[in-house]
Amino acid sequence: MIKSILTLYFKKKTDSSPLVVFRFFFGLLMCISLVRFYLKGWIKQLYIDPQFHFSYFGFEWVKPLGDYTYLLFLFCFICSLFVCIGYKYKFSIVLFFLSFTYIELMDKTTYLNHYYFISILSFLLIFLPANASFSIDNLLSRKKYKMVPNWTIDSIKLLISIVYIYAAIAKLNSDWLFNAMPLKIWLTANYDLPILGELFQKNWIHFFMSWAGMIYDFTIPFLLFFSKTRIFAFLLVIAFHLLTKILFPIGMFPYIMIFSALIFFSSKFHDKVILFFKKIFKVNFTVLKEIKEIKNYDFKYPIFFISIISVFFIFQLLIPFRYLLYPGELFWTEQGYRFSWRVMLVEKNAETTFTIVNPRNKKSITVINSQYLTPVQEKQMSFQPDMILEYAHYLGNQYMWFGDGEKVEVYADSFVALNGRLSQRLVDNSVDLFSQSESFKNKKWILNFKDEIKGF
Amino acid sequence: MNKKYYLLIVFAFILSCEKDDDHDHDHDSEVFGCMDETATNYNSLATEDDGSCVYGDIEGCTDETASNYNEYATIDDGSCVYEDSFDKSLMLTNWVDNIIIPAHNEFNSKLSELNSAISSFVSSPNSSSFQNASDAWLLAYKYWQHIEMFDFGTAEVINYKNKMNVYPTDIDLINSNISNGGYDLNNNNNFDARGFPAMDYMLHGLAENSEEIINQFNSNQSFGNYLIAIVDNMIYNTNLVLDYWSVNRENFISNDGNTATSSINKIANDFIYFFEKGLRANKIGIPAGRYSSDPLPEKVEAYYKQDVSKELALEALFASKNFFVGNHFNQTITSGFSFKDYLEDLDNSILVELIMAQFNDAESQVNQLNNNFVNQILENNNQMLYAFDYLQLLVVSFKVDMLQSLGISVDYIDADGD
Repeated sequence: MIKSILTLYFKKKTDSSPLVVFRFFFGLLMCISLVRFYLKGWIKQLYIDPQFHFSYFGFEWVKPLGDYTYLLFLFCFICSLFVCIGYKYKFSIVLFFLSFTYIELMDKTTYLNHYYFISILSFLLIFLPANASFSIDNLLSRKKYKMVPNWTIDSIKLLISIVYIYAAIAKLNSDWLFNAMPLKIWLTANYDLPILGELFQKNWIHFFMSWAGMIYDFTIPFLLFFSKTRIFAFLLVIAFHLLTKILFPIGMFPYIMIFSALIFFSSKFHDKVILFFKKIFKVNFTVLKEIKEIKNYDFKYPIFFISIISVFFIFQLLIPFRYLLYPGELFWTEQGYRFSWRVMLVEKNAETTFTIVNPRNKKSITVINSQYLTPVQEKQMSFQPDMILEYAHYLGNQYMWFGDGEKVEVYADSFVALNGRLSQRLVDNSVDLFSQSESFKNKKWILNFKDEIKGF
Repeated sequence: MNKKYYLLIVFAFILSCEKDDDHDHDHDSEVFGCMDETATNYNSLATEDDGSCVYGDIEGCTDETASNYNEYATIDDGSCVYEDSFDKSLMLTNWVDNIIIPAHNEFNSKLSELNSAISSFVSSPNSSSFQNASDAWLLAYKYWQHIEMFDFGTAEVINYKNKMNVYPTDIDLINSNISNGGYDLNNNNNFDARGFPAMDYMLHGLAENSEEIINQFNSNQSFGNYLIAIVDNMIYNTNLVLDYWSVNRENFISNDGNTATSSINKIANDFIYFFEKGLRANKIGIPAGRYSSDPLPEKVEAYYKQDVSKELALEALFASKNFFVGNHFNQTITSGFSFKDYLEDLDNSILVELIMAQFNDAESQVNQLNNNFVNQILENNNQMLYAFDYLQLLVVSFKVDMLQSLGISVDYIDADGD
């Protein structure tokens, strides 16, 4: 019974237009993002200027390439351009995924949930026939496909829904719902906005926005799914993401989410989009007539592809809950915090100072962090234990000379303020971090959070 | 919870009873005041004349709605103060009108006094003119501690604090300047051969004792010239900064947003930078060897004068506390809005109390140190390090807690969030 339903589902075909329009906008937005990144001077500032880079555990070999980092970005840009126009799509989306993910792995400091989203979305796109039509590949191969398996489009919808719903689940905590934190801090700080600034000082607005944000995240996938509520939902998506754009330095993310939401629209809508672009580009229709339209796109090894994607989604569903394997408050220890759609949940400010001790004569020296880290790195390192540990090791090696031939000891004193609470010590300042090593195990030298946040 | 409230209510009863007793007592006692009906401040309720009678016009605040309303005042002198609810532009007004500009003006007048003391000393170097110059130097140096934190506008552009107070001073450079001549002290090559520290060396470090120093000035005119060049350069730069504030007062107040360049954010960052770097690190941490393998007593502020390093550090701490509280320049009673009130307005009185307690602790720690930090470092450097640790607690409160509460980012970082 279930098997037959599944077989039926995976055989179901649908118009390819939503998928190919999605590919087009995805490539386009990636192009804009990368150019913006370059124009802001961030390639130099984030990947070339720093003398030290924070690595992901197991990916220590991924490092910026010096001045060649510009070429890496250029390469990634070309890949996204090719994805956009659908030129050698299979090839370019694989290379896009690899180059973009490489960029993200170069320095942990710049981790953002939406970069992670782009990485895994591009991974998913590798397995989807997003060049079935409306692509240069059609001109080259002289064939295009009207229909694609329905599950290909559904898989993108599923990924977007996971992002929203997991973000909603993460908001089910006492700080967000009952203290309106950290929105209270952020909204109040926006006092200089015209009209809204005054409103944002009001207590009820802080609570209203917190609850509305949570309900929005929970319901938006469903509202987008049903055709009756879709237009309304899309207007909500636009309003919500533009508001976040006004309030927070959130970069391209709002636009990416707005355009991603279009995947929920019908094929008729997407046909119109395609027609619109064909008019703009004044495509010569006689050329197009020579392209053979094939009705159905069929995977050569459907079982193989479906299995890969299923495993991918099982991982996506499980990874955000890996924090349950660690003791302590997640918002405090951040063990299992990344890759889990915990978006804008904490406001953290921290000051972490390191002391190098010569074990023989007990002489000590305090490190001036700005000599080794950029302001962005110092800010991020100061409240994330894994980065504190990695930096402590870097310092230990830098201060080798101080130990008179013996391995120096490195101690961190870290004060972190979380969501408006008074700052407290994050790590045990009597533990020599140079003798601690990174692993997926619980970091015992993280001090307990002296408060409780209930919920997920 | 109920136990606590219960106690509180009982306590309140006891208090109210006591109050009643006081009231009764008051009723019986006499009222002091002016009893002359012809006086401007005649008090009809007074039962005993206290000699406070004033005749003619009394200046003061005549607006009943003001918090400093003076019922006897007949002429309004514009001194009315209104206990408004917290307002950012009132905070900026308080900063610029009651703290920044008065501090700069006072500093400028101390600098003028220093200038004339230096002139007299150079024109006739003797022990009394020397003493005057040295005293004027110290006084101006103390006032400087109140304005170093305002690294804002022109001060930031010309790097005012580097023109005035880079220590340790480079005595080799000073001596080569003196013997070669042709120096331009405003040139940043001379960043550590000018300002207060260079003057400290010229007045207190040229020779073993003041007699010999006076002899040096008597025997060689180029020493005097260099001293005058130092003070001239300080006056030149101070005038640039004064001009900035006299022109930009309104801009400063109206720039009340929350951006990287708005007044509140800039001042908050400047204030913390001064506290962290100018006070905690430069005055205590670096000489105590916090950032080096061994203590570096030669890096103490006013190294050649020897016995005033604590005085200067306390002055800087006093200036920081006053600014945090919003006290008018060099006053401990009259105050307006500042970070303290801002935090209280944001319901963070806990942090205010913590910071005030930390200020007191830091003050008493620094107070226990030897007047001359060089001696303190050589005798018991641990005391210096303790003082450093107490100042560090304030750095954490400012940088981590206060900035989070105010929603201000540390030295604006340009990057995306999510």
